[in-house]
Amino acid sequence: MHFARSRRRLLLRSMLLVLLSPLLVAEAHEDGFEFTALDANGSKQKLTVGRGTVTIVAFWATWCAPCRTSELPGLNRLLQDYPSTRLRIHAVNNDGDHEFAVRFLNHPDVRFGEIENSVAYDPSYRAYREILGHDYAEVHPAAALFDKNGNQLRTFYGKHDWISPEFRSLLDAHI
Amino acid sequence: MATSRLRLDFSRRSRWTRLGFPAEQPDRCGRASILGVDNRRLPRLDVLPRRTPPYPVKRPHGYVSLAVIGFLTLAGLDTTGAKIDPRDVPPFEEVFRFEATASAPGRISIHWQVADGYYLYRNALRIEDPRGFTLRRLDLPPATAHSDEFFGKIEVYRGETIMSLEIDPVPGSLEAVFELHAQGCADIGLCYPPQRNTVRVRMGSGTRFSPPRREENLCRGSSSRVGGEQFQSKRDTAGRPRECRSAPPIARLWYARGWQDRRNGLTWPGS
Repeated sequence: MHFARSRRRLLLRSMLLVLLSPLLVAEAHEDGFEFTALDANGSKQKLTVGRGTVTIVAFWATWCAPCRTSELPGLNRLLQDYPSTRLRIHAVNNDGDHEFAVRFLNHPDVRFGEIENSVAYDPSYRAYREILGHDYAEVHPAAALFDKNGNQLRTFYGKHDWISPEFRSLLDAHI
Repeated sequence: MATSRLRLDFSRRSRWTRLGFPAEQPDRCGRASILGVDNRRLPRLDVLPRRTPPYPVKRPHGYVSLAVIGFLTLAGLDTTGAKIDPRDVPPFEEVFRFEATASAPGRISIHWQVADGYYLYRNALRIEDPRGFTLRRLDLPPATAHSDEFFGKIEVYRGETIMSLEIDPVPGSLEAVFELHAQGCADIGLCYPPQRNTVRVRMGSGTRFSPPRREENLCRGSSSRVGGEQFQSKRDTAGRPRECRSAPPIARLWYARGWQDRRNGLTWPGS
């Protein structure tokens, strides 16, 4: 009887260990990473993910209607609600002609707000594949959410409601 | 210890009392009597271990299990997760299939097949960099108005569409080469990058147009067929040239049976 109880306890403890092992592994990860993209002048810049700040890397393009009318405005609202010390957003543009994307953003009719300062350019899709993987179709909008240690929490394909209460509670849980 | 494991049970209803002491029913050891005494009339000896110990027991495992089940349930019901699984998003060339043929002298037809739930932008369809011919006119069929959630009313193509090119072949040229640009989106709210395909069409007089068959579209987006001759070309998406490879015959059989379409959840108009 005693043996049965201890065996059951051992079984439960091992089940708990298996369930919590991803968290333990996550704790053991490094605190973040960097990826390379271009700035408006076409120079390479390193963008930080994690390192103590929750990070969203969102990929968009000028030819992507949902990106222009839903994703970028939604991310801009997030930037307004969360200070940059708590949430970092990289809005990475994937237009093949990065100069065209710069001209697009500088057009007087285009007003995305504060998110325009977070725009980087990735015409070769290198950052896209580095972050979202090589295995799937490269579609837009697409984004990834990282915790403070640079661990990927979620990926989002298609338009996403960034200001929904569900997403905010997810964000608050990790900030 | 012995008393806890071996005890007389007078209170619990035994199998015998439930069955009303059947005469031919043997006991649990298969015997009807021990030493000449009918043991079916004796109180039952319960040799099983007691299920409830005589001391109070805390059961933390129950709460732990509940917590684990609750955690897993919440993880499963999390509504903030990705609505679209990237594994369910087929590549462009599987959704937007085309085939270019020299349908008549001085005319090239491009037959598009667009899967259900996807559409091509009319203003994104264009021909560039013609080699071996001069493009006289590009005829695009009337498009359907699409009420875009973001852009309002735009013109798109769904289902099957044939765009035709009126050309002046360069004398002595055996094939026409051009860049075909296209871009499309899905109704679920995602878009594919603009595609640029290098298309080669063998010039031939009197070649009849034949609509594409599924098994011929293995090299989708970059194949052309004239007079039974298959041409393959490079696919260049967002600056990433990729050689188009043909599949082995057994794979052609699978593709022909729509296996890949079923895998990607694609349906086609009229099928």
